[in-house]
Amino acid sequence: MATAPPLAAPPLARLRIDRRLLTTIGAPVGAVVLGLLVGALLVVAAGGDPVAAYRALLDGAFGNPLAFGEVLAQATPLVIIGLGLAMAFRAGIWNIGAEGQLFVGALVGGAVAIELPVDSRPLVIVAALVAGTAAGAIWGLPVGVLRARWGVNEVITSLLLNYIGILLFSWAVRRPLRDPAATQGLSGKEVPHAALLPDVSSFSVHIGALIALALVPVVAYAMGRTPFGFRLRMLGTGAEAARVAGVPAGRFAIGLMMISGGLAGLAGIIQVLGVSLRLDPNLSAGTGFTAIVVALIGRRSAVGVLLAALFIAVLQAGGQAMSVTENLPYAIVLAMEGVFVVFLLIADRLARR
Amino acid sequence: MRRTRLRGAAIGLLAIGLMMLLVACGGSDNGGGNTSTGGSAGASTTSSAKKVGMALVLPCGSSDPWCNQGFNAAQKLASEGVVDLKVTTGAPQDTAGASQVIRQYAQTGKQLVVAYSTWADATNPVATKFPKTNFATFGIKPTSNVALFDEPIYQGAYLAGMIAGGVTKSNTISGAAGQDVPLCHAEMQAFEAGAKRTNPKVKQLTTYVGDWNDAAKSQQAILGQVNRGSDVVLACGGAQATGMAQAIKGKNVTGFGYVSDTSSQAPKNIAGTVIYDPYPYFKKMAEDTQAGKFQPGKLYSFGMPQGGVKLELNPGYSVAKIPASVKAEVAKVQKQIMDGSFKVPYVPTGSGGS
Amino acid sequence: MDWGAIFGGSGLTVLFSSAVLLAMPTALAALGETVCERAGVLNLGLEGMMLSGALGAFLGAYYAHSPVVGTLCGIVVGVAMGALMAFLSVTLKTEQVINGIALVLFAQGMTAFLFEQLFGGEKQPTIPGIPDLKIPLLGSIPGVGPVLFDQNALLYVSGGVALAIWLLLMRTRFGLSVRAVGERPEAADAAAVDVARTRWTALLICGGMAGLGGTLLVIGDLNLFQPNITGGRGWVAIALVIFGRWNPLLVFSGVLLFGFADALQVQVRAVSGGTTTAVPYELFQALPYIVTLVVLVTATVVARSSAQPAALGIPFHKDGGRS
Repeated sequence: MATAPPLAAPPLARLRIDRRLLTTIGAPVGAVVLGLLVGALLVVAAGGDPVAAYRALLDGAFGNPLAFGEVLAQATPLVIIGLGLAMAFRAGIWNIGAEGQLFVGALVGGAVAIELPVDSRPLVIVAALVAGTAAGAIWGLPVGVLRARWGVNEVITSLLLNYIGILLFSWAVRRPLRDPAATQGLSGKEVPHAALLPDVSSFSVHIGALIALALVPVVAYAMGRTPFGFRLRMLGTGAEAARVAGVPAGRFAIGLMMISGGLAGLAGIIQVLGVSLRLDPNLSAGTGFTAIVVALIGRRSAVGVLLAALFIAVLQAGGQAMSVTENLPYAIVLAMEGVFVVFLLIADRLARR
Repeated sequence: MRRTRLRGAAIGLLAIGLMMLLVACGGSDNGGGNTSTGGSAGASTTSSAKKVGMALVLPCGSSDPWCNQGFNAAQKLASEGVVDLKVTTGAPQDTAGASQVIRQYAQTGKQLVVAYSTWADATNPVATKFPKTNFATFGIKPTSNVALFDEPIYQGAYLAGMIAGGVTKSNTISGAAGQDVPLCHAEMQAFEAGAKRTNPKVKQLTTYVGDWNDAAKSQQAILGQVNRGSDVVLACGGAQATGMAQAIKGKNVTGFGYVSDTSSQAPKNIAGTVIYDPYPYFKKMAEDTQAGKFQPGKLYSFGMPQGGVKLELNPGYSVAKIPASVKAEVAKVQKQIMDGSFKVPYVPTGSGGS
Repeated sequence: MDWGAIFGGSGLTVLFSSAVLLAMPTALAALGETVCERAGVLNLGLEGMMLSGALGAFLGAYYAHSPVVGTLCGIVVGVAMGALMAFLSVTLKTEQVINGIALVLFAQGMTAFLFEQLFGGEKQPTIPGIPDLKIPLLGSIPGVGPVLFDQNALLYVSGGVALAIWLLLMRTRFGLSVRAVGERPEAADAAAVDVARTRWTALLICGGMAGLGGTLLVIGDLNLFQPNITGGRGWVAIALVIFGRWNPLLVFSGVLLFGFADALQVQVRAVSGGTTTAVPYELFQALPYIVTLVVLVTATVVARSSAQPAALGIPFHKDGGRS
């Protein structure tokens, strides 16, 4: 690490560390408690019993293997996208185009799975995953180039490309890749059986969840123990420091946009092959945006992303179950998620102060 | 840096841990016991007095016209004591989320789970895991335990078209639909065919707005049609119906609503609504579940003769007077449709418009 | 294809009225966003502010049976959302990009929940609208008259507000502070401009404008509320602020231009009456984003000036340090 801690800290400093530790733990705990209290108010407003509701939420998330499989399935895209974003955000590259990158990855990967004239199951799956990842990376590429070469604000360009990507998907499932058998709505073609991701036995979750889990230590290692990770942090602390240290900021901007875009594309094609099983316009309802929040609540670290994604997934999947067993409108889950996100952001800030 | 990571870990763990502590202290109740209750569907068929456990998953709020129809039909069935009903409103928009809600109902032992939207992708994976539970949705092809609804609103649209042909002064009528899907295409074609029957000079403008949800844009499309001479408008899609009500009120022309009676939005201008009533569907599905005849999944189809679709006229309509001859003709055709001697042509695809 | 039906006589009137009606809610939000971006805050929560304003307006109008009360409620709710954004971004100095997205998630969840809670199971509730206001004499001018002088009364208010925002930003002392704070906050601070207070005010104005935009959609047009009724208009507005290069007049004309393009494609398809058009309509929907991207890139690459406020998106720390 850059600076070694002093061997014997003066008492004052030690005191400050203790206080910091206190706020570090206290702030998020406070945020969760506050979030739970507001959530309880919402449940009461909806005519429910908050204790029963939270119990149902936990039961719906951890009650049995199927339920926990659902948590993992919903956490999978958040983890995969969140990891890429955590790296980019750490270097100060604000990619907010994950939703568009996800849809482009799903479209290209899905098209490969549908059109590729190959019977071998592993081959089709791998080809689709690679194509989806590449498509997401390519969708992120211009953002990185524009930022690196001409200093164009990446927040704005990635935001604009979001909608272009989503509309491209909408067009594709309405015209060239439309399933003509869908009579009451618009839907894209089905993915052939050979391309579907197999399930992990005993959990209701596809192997995409394993890919997500496997990526966590890889990214943690890359960010923590490699020159790449060191340069990432240099960039994040300021352009000046990075330049002095000789970090090629431009190449990093391009590379990080491609990595984070590629991971978003991978999440998209995994959703196609593992969840929707077709080019489905309802593939994601803002997963790419939720992942942005996940990356930040997860403190832009790999393990943090995993935990934050699991937290949101528990809230979502458990909440969906809760709305069923407690007879509450599903919108209450979205409202609770919004409340938690705002409180956790505030807590994150207070803890870093 | 390591501290940051540890801190992140601590926060996440604390968050989850605290939630567990706060609510789990009462002890986890019968979560495990429920997982196998999918099988109770078979058991309950023996005692006919028992109500069918039914769940209804709605994609929108229960005041939304589309969801309100489903909500009311299921409530009616419940009040008649046929089913024991649970409803989820405004279910998740994404397939994974919708799937989780559907799965949860299957897991809590509901015998009949109705996913009241185009949710085949969300329903089928759950259905394979709960083979004894009966599912129904608006989908593409039925599977062993997933039955499908059809939505033959074109039949009612034919009668609406006959009235449109009778009340139009400009001999131009129009239709606005969310997307060019067979559902709406067939409705538009039937509307035109009906209008030509009572008024061969009629010409129809059809617009596919390209968005199921944008009422403001649909309103502008309909205003464009009215400006082009249309004085009777048919909507296909919730936002289209909303936009239509606003447009025809301002221009004082005639409109026909979609699926649910929204004539209160333009009480003088809406001549009628092509109602889609899922009640007979729900009823038959519940009965089949009760009798153990639900599986293998099939297409449930209830057109006008079976009460799934009807044209409901609005008594407050006063923009134009429906000619008595047209009224008589409509009554005659309606009777023919009811007794099966006339079938409204179903034209799901092809180049539309004139 | 009968182009006369679109561009001839009354067709043109419909086209322009339609463009104005489609564009105005977006225009108001975009002007609000211009103010806060000029002050250096990139507010991605605009869609959430519009949506909350729309619900606020609906509830006010529904319970008080008064579109005026509804309009006020819509603005107040928008301002409250602006305050939340300001608290997070200015007072706590958390990442603005994330705050905006969190705000949208929060608003989408809350509005859907509240609406279902209040009206679940009932028939679609509606509210009284505002009648069209035909200005005597002027409204009778053929062509221009109906477009400019025979519109919804709320539309005139909105037009006035738009003008006021331009004056505020470009012609007042406060506007000067806003621009200074967005360009060089340190210098502004040295010149005794309260950076935090200026940004707070800018965000409150932005929230109010976005709330008014949502209000216009609900009270001035549809007279009902649905979850996600704003349908992404807030995001288009953000794109068009960039398209208009942070200049309120350019932003306003940009929104009208795209409103016109949108109205044109809707009218073309309404009049052509066919199921197939050569150009896919997704292209029209993507047009504001594509054109903005092209303009942004061309301006930056060719003219070497992005016109972007220098401190956009950067929290200001009075002591000069970055945490």
